[in-house]
Amino acid sequence: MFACIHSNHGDLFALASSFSPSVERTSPGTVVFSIAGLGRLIGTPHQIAAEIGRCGASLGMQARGIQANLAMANNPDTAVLIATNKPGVTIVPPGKEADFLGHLPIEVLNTSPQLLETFERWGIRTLAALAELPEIGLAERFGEAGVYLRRLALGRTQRALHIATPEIKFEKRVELDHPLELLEPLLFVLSSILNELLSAMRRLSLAANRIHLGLELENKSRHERILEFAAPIQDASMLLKILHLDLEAHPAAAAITAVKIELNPVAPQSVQHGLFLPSQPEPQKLQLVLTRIAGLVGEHNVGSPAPLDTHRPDAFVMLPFRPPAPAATLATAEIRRRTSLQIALRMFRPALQANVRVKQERPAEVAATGVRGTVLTASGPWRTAGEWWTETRWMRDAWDIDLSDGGVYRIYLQLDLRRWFVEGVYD
Amino acid sequence: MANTLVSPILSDLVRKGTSSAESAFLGLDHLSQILRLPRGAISEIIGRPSSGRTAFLHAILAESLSRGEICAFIDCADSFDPATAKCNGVALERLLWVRCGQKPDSALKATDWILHGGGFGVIVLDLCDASPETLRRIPLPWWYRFRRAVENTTSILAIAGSQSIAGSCASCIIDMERRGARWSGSARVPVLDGIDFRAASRKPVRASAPLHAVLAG
Repeated sequence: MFACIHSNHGDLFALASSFSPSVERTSPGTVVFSIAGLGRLIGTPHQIAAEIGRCGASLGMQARGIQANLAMANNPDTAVLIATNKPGVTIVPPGKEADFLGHLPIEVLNTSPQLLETFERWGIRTLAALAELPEIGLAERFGEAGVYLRRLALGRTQRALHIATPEIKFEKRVELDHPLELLEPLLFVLSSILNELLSAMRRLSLAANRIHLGLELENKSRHERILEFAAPIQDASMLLKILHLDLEAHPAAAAITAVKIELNPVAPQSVQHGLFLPSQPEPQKLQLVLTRIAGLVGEHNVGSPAPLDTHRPDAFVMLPFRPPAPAATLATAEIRRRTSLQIALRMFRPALQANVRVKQERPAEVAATGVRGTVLTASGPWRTAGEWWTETRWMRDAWDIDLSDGGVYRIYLQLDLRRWFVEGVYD
Repeated sequence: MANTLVSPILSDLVRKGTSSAESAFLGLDHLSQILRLPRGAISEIIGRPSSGRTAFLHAILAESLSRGEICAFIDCADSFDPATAKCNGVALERLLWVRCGQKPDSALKATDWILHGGGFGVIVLDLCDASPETLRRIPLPWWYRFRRAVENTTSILAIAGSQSIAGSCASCIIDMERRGARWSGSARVPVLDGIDFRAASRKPVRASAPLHAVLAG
């Protein structure tokens, strides 16, 4: 037997879980669960229904005026159809499903509008009318879907429940006996929390790909750090080291009174190494290296560059370093074969402001920090402009120049400022 | 402005990269003899601006990345240009770029951590824009430390600069020299076509003649 509870309010999952470990969240506001075996514990289906009602009242549903429908039937689909369409408590004796379902309108079936329209044209308006149609005829006309709908109308479907697993949170909050100012004693606290959380994760074959560290400070403010990892981590000591490095780079502003750690669980990453594949950095070691470097040069100065889809010069974003698996190598190799080696540009960031002497509308001499000489050959002006509707607008005349100091440079005149800059050197 | 003309010499050489486990890249006979970068050792690429050092580094990275390796570019002066690197075949999504903001100390530390992390194919330490005084002030033990970290691995540590700085710790020194810029078009409207350069192995000294090639503009 299965029981279905339908209500628009209340924690139905908790109510169902107090009777059975096998609970399905059929839809928002509807849960189905198995009551097989409850007969020995509680008694007849009527007594089980009464017990469910009492349990719902103890959970506060009655006090809050929450109305719920309860249906019990031999299969989950019948229980769901009756609970969602018939108010109150309904207990369907085995073999009587068609009698209880028959009066329901055809629209209660969760099927396509085209099928419902066809049934409407045929004059089929209730489940009883659908049940009277010949199964072979329905199979010829609608295929498997028609046969399934007829079985639903007769209450003869059988299926296993899609068991909903409760969401497990890996988080812990510890209030400290006295405020901590130094990092080292804080690491002891973090270590014990991480060990506890990660051993719970390992028991469930999970790993953490994000950590949210919340520190409550003595001055009533909070210090929050969220770290995402290139590869999921199961090792508590590795995670502690990463937190250590991050807290060194981003220390709290005051003494710490409470610590909260929340880990995001994901499936651990398993890498199949190949005999002929090149070696790769170990994911955990790589994460540690990236955290160290981010602490040294800043988070925004380490990662993979991605050029932006714009003509704006030097337009790129720094993405977190997440190298794809070696399997993607072939495509890269193909791209590389199609390209040729060109001059590379070494950028000056920011561009060097320059004094340029112009002769016959062409640069003749250039003087900037570290760049000085007579222009031997100049190619330009190459005018570009764009994004005038944003703050990143640009409008400039660029030149490639061969300078007497031995370098080939790219310089440009910023037209709105009427100033010259050296953008980079070809190398 | 840079266009996409194909170099008749170097691009062909780079395309025919060898798959040998010992040599890093560039398969054509005379080039591989001159410009072979040994794995598990420090190599230096030295030269003045516009001598082709950066394009050469791109070629090394592109070759390594195309074989599925992961590479790192430690950029002391924040001068790496992703757009031209992509044009040269560098798979940016597999490249770790560290921008050190004109701080050689940070660049050296980052290089050390990456070397000890292991697993990278090519690690480029770009010190091209550091002044000779800055380079001379780098303590010699750094280079010994790097040599110890990279030996017995399959990684290449390529150091680019205006002069040789690793001294006896470098197993290979490639000297790049600019021969001149190539221009096409008319005298009134010239277009940068490429840069001629000369590359020679200073260490180990090889009997073969230096390579003369051109980078496409």
